[in-house]
Amino acid sequence: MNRLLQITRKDFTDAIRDRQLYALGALFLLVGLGIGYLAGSNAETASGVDVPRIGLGAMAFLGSVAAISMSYNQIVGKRASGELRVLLSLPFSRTEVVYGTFLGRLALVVAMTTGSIAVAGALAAVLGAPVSGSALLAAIVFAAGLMAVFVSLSIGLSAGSVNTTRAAAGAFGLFIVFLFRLWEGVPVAVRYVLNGFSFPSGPSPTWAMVWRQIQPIAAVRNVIAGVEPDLTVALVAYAPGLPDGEPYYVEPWFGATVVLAWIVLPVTLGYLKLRTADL
Amino acid sequence: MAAIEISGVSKRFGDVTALQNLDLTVEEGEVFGFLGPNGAGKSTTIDILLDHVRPTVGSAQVFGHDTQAASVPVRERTGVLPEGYGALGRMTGRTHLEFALQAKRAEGDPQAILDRVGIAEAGDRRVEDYSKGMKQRLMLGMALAGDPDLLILDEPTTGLDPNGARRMRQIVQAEADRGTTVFFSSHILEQVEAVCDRVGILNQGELVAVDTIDGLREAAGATGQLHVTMSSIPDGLVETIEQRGGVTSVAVEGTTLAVGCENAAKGAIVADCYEAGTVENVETSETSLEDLFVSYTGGEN
Repeated sequence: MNRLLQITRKDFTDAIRDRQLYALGALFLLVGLGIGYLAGSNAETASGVDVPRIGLGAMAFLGSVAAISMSYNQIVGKRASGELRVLLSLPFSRTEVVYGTFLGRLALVVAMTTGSIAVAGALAAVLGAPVSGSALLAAIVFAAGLMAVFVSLSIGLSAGSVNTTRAAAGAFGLFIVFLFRLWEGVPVAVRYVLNGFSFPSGPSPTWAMVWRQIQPIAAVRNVIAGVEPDLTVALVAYAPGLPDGEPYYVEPWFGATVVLAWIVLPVTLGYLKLRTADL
Repeated sequence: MAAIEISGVSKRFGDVTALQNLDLTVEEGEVFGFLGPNGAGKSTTIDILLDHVRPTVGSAQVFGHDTQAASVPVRERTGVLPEGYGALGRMTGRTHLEFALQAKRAEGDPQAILDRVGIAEAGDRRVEDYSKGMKQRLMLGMALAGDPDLLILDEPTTGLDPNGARRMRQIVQAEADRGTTVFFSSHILEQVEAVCDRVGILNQGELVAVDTIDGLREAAGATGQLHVTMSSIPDGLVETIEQRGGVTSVAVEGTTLAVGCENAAKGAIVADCYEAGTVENVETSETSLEDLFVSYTGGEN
């Protein structure tokens, strides 16, 4: 077997051997059952996109939190424990360790989000509520895409950190910046400083508008708008609103490019940092 | 082709120089012991061979592969017992070995390896729960997995009881007999003496000596020791012995004469004592490796 996949499989099975993760898995299952039950008990008034929309919204938060907390220690923790030394004494490259771990964690988190949304859809359907199959599939796929972003950020952080303390601080930073939307505060702060330390008036300049739309959850939302527009509401709590008109930077193709960059770049930057590091 | 070829390697960590212009060649099939006090740079040297650490200047090759540019090919042929290792996830001893065999793309029976390193009963327990010595044995087992051409063992007997240390020596010897090159670091001198073809002594990042143990003894000008215990020391005996060729020192400790001398002179000295009085006991020893080590590394570290 390919050594990258050997690392991936090990990472995935490590999680299965970890009893603590069963609690997290149970939480995902419960959330899925809860959503399905709610939709099912309002079967007459529910629409087919309700379960996918609520499921995606729940996964945007719960899934992202899980992705960060299950991933941020995955490389730096092994570096601290000496496990990385053992792996890198066997014929694994650092590339295989980083990307293999990324894929393993991603598979794990996506299994949880997919399971949760699928269970919600199945229970709702059993209870007689309408469930749109295409919307459910879209919710599963976009949740997975969002998970890929957060696993990439967290594994990149983990690979690039010299010790577990810094990685933990970084993980906390990820929560603040992306889930609590500090990201959007950056252009405000920059404009405040540029404006001589007083609040600027007038409309946001273009760069500030672009900055808001390249936030990963906003970028995912902008892709969804081109595929399954009814689902975009799911991410309203985590992504800034859309500007007037339809500038290029809110178009789905632009969003897709941004999402891809968010998936590829963070883990790669972390890898590049680790590649030249002394263990 | 040499198994290990280190050329002009220096390594600095910030202001600290861990290795200073190290040149070292280990031939294929050799058992090479790497000696030095703690912090001398032994582990750094091993880390450079495995590409865990990059040299500040210089380069190293293992079986002709550059250790930085071709680290995976190096490690495909190498079994490693690293320093500061940790268990792989929550796997059992057996799954550790299966994992190592798979990584090395080798066939092999994990149980046979468990037997060989002496933890046959512990294969199905999680390695997190192993004792230090059992972990050390398992790591040796992982190093042996796939019959490597080179074994790199960093302080292999750390945490082992005397039986474990003995088994470690036997395994090193068996691997050497099979033609495996063995490179290991240690500060336990008896083990080095027992199994090594050649030793290198590292002190404060510099290689201060490389030779066979006999060669080191000669080079250090170290001589043997002879202790003769008598019922009493007759007058004039000390002077007689001092005048013999090859004698470097004579000291009296109670009724024991401690003579530093070349081995060839020992017989005549014993004869002198025998003629002069009643000999109760004779002990003879070569310069200990410890004396050698101290003479090369300054002792006080």
